[in-house]
Amino acid sequence: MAETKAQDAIAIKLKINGKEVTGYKGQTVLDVCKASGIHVPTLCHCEGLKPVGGCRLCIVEIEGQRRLNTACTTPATDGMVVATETPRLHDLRKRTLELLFSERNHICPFCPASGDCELQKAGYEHGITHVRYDYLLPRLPIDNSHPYMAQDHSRCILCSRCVRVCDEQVGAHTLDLSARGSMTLIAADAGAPLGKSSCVSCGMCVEVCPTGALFDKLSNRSLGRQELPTTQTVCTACGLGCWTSVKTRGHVVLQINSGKGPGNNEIICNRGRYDALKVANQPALQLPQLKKAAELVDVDWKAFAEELARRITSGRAGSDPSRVAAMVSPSLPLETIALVKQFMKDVVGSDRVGLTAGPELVAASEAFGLNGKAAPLARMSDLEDSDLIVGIGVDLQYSAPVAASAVRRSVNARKAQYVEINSRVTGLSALAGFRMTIKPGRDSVVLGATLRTMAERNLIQSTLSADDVAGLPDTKEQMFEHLSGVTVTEVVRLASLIAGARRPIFVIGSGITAQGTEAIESVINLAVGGNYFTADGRYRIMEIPRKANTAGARMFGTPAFSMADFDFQSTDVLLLFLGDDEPLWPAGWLEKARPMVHVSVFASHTQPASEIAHSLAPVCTWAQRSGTFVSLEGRLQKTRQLVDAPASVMCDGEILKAVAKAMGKSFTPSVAACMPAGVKVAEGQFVPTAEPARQIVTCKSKAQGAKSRV
Amino acid sequence: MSNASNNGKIKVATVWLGGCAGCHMSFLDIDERIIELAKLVDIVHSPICDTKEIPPVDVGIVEGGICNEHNLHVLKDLRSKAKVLVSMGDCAGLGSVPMLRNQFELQDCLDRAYVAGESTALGQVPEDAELPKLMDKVRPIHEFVKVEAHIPGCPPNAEAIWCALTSLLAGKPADFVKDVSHYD
Ligand code: SF4
Ligand code: SF4
Ligand code: SF4
Ligand code: SF4
Ligand code: FES
Repeated sequence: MAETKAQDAIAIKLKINGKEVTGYKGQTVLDVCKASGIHVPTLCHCEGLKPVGGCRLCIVEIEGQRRLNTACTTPATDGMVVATETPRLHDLRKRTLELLFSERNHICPFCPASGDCELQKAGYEHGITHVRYDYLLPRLPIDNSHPYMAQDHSRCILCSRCVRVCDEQVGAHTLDLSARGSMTLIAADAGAPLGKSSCVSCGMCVEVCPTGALFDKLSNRSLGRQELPTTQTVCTACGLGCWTSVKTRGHVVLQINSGKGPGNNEIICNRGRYDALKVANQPALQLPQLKKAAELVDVDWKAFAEELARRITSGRAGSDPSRVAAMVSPSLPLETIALVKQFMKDVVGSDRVGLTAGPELVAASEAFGLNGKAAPLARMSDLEDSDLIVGIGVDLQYSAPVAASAVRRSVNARKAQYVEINSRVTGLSALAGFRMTIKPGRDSVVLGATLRTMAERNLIQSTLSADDVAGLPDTKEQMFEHLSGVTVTEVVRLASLIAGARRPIFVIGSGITAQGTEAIESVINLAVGGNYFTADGRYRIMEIPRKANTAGARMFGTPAFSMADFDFQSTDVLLLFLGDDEPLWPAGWLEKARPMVHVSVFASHTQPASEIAHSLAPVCTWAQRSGTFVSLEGRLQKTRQLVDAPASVMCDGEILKAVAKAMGKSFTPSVAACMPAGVKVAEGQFVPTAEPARQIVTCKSKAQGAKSRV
Repeated sequence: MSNASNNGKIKVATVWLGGCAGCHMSFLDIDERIIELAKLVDIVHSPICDTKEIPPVDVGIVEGGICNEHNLHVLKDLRSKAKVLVSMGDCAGLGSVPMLRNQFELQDCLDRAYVAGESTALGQVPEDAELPKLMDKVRPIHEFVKVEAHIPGCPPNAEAIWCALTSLLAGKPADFVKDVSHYD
């Protein structure tokens, strides 16, 4: 890695092109050159990936050595005298490039990478106007089987960057070099079409490919000869909040790549790259719509605002404002939640603002004792530092793919163990050294019994009292195996795996949190009972929430209701503020909302909820607005507005102002004043966390009414 | 190129071989500078002038690669008449699209185009003494004759052509020009 600059790094002095420069022991010659602003052409080298010294473009002359060395693999040493630009090097590099051009089929005018191709750039840099070798013009296949990307072997220079990123960072190890006949090709799963391989569709290989051999289908890389504006922002497709780097042209988001930031190891996933791109641009609707005679028809904003105002102020809702309720998706910025709360309170006069989330929201707030703060949970760096990763009720590959990559990396490269407890098979099941298939809803019993086993068998040095232990579920209970679907032997195995680890981490998802407080507490008990805390006192528990801003939404305090306890009977008018893509609703929920007097959906794209809407308001997509989010790590992050929305589309604030006006009231949003107190930290910093528990909670201690959380 | 003949102007011939005429279009795209160019050069032969024979010239400019025997004949003719030979565009200098057919057997290409083509009825590969014979493989021009300068691009933009010509006219080598030259 480039900046190997540990505190205790030993400085070394080199002379490069006659200039004295300082480097550090452990750096390569290329690292030192880069840090000193000396350009050395490279092709197979890629920041963050292990160097292989394959392309030989980075050759340099080192005094006292007869052969030429590749700068990307040669360790820098004290006193080294290096030349990076000599006529001999230039000539050799030019030949190397000409050979690359002649080996396969590089027809730049018809290449999706032209303008953004490192081979082409190197050709320009070396003044190549024609090729002195015979073109081999091999006939090579194109793999078009993948929904998002394609591979044209004609443009592959076999630099292996794709192979390395897929292995070292994504952890999928889908790609490899394979020799088929006389031709070496990059192959997925030793010859499977990409679309039918183990590929997790993260697109990292496309991102690091220096040429047009791997390319996106959604966003052609031929982005022209001009550099396009690139903005660093944060992904809001899941709760991890990875940094992204987004290319735009005019009002269009063209391409999403990984960005440099904490937490995501500089990779992103299929959801952040492709799913987010699909909904980034134009909202599907350009004008608001109202239901007239069972049909939704386009209207102007005035008509929309008047209709919604009429519904809020007439009928039963008119005399009882609490019959108006609003729900905000936790995938939206904190500002939207704050705004809706303020509108409902000041303009409508209703405090019924809930979140489109399941019981996990309330349950987690309770179990973690949040009180406006974030939960004291583990972060990505803790995950990368664990020797045992226990995934409980979570499908990481689906819910937070970049975290799944961290798990794969940990298992593949650090030899950490992955254990999975789930009622279903997940995208990471194949990686699990031990799997427990549990009956749905039985996690708290099994986890409790596991802790009890750890304590009773003295597998851990526990601070648990005899009473504590006695209050835990027991494998000896009647029908334990039948009810939980787990054998006693399995519980013992899990207990000894956890107890045998130095730094276990428990990764939980909605499979746990949606079960309610008790299930979450059983995981907290494991952390507390086994004394599994990070150095600075957070639980070694990582929670993977459903939505980008779940952690942030919780900081507003417990919402009035969740989807689980929504009171359909007492509601006549429902305002739904949704993210760009929200396909998941609890079974039957929308059907129960259908008979309401008026349902108004604020969203950028048509989705299942639109179907029951009496009015639809097209709003900005994630790329057309900015906002504040709290990542699952508890980090405050801001997304940037990347492009302008079409003139006919408004953001929530303006729409609500118009509705207020139509109601004859004034509404001056003061978002800052309505934000949770805890988010007043600088961007990128961690929001304050609640105190972790130091004692376990058992049914018994609950029954005794013990206020156990200290 | 200081030893210009006649009226002090430099004589230029351009030819159109296995290319799409796009490079010649780009050449005309030099716009009003073509007047400036006209002060310096005489275009004595080109696809847009009506001369049969290529006269001796100072600069010969070639668009297109060598696809058939006629292309090769013209190329050699121009080479023998030009003091300096320049390739204009990717087809002449880098092979590019026409060269893609080298991945296939010539006969298969002909059959695909004239016999199995979707728009051909009773298709038959045309044969006539007048038609030049196709080369087995398409090649860039420097594989046949000496070429003094290459202007890449598909087509090269007018700026790249202008830079190359003015360098040559000033007696300097026409190199790849940063930020002007391109392959696409
Ligand atoms: S990969 Fe690069 S060099 Fe090859 S055709 Fe595409 S743009 Fe040109
Ligand atoms: S998309 Fe990701 S998983 Fe698939 S081959 Fe590329 S790097 Fe590997
Ligand atoms: S596909 Fe791209 S990244 Fe992979 S080896 Fe070929 S050129 Fe390199
Ligand atoms: S892991 Fe989540 S935040 Fe990261 S890129 Fe994927 S969807 Fe976005
Ligand atoms: S960059 Fe060093 S050998 Fe390729």
